[in-house]
Amino acid sequence: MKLRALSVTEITQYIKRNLSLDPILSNVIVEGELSNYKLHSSGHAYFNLKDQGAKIPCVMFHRAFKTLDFDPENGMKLKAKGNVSVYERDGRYQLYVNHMEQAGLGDLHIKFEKLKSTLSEEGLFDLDRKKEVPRFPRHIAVVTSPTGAAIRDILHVLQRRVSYADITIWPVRVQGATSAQEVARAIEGINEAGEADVIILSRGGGSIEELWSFNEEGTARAVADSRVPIITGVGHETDTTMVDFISDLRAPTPSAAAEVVAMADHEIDDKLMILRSRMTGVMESKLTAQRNRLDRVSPETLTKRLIQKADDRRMALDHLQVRMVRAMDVQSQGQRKRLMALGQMLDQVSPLAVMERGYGIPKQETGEVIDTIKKVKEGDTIAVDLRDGTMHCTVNQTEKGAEPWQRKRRSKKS
Amino acid sequence: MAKKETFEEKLNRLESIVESLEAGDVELEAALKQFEEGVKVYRDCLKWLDKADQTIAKINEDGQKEPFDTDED
Repeated sequence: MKLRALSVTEITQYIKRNLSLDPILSNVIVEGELSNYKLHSSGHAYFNLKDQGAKIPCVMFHRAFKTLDFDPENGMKLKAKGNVSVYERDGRYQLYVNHMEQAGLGDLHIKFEKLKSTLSEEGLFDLDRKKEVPRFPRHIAVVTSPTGAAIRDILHVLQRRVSYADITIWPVRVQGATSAQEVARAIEGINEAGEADVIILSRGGGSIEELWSFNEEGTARAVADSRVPIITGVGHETDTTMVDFISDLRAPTPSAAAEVVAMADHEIDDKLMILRSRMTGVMESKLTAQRNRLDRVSPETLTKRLIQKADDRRMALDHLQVRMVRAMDVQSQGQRKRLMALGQMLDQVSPLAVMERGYGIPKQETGEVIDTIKKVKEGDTIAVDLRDGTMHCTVNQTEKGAEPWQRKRRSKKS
Repeated sequence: MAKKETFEEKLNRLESIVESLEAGDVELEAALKQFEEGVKVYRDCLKWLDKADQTIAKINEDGQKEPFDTDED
């Protein structure tokens, strides 16, 4: 035999090299059902993908595994991307997975969008279809799992906030084959019982598969048909299910649904207190206004106003008087000045003033002033008025002289 | 059976009384009457809230109500 014997390692390495050279095996996507899933404490995941005819062992190392946005579970249909290689120690080939997604996801999304557009065309999302959610429900029906986190959260919030609302839990499965039907039946039952003022339809967070019964047509139509208003609180903030589009109010989480379903006791207290203080405030100001109006026409006020008016008049009078007196003063001072000026003028032309300067005024005994020598003759007795008395004289002689004005002129010429 | 006024209706009544009073076009005598009614409704509301006593029940497999033990889980 010409053939040379190869060591186990050699043949294994040869197979490995050949596999790695294959363009398909070095980059492939495999679809199958997850089984025998084990998450090792190192963070690496080991599992098989299988279908009816075969299975392939897979490994997903920690670095790739931690990027997954879901928790793998046995039975899930998955699409795994990676390369096929040989694990030399065990002598077996396996799929080294670097990325993985849920295979059904695409289908579910398509189903979701299709139903959404059907229901939307029917008008089930229309805002005017939405029923008014009561602010103060006396009775709240809760459709959810009686054992899940959702009911715990909801009861916790309601017991803390709202004392006036009774609560009835309508237990349903919130995932699995019968879930949608159970939810629809519970909603019908609540409507038939006619006791609840509002329904909370809720479940905790989960994968799109787990939330799926809240996306199904039967559930959606039951929500749409309910006469009792429905508040949905399904999953986390980021999850939006079909019932969220149809319900009368969508809350992001179960707790949030419990918060908005009823006004809290303390909020009502506050509201009542504000209303009361507004009411009494208005009444007080109204009464004050009326009292002021009354005061305006009371005898005291009227008297006060009359007195005030009289005082005003009196003040005006006083003021006038002051002005008058002042005006009179001004006037009389002016007149006094004029009088004095006149007096001075009189003084200047008065004969008395001339006499003060040493002149005398000759007069006949009859009192007629002698202003020319023609009025006397020798021997006449005349009187001369002087500053301090009268002098009686006899005319000795008269002598004609120059006229006084001629004398004046002459003296001016000289 | 005459429908009993709900709390919501009571509160609405109180709100509309307050708004009407605040609008200010009510005669004093009418306003006093409204105020009196408002105080009565206000007391009713408080009483309603004080009397409230929440019950928690669960529908069992026979479709009957049974008490729900909140400490159960």
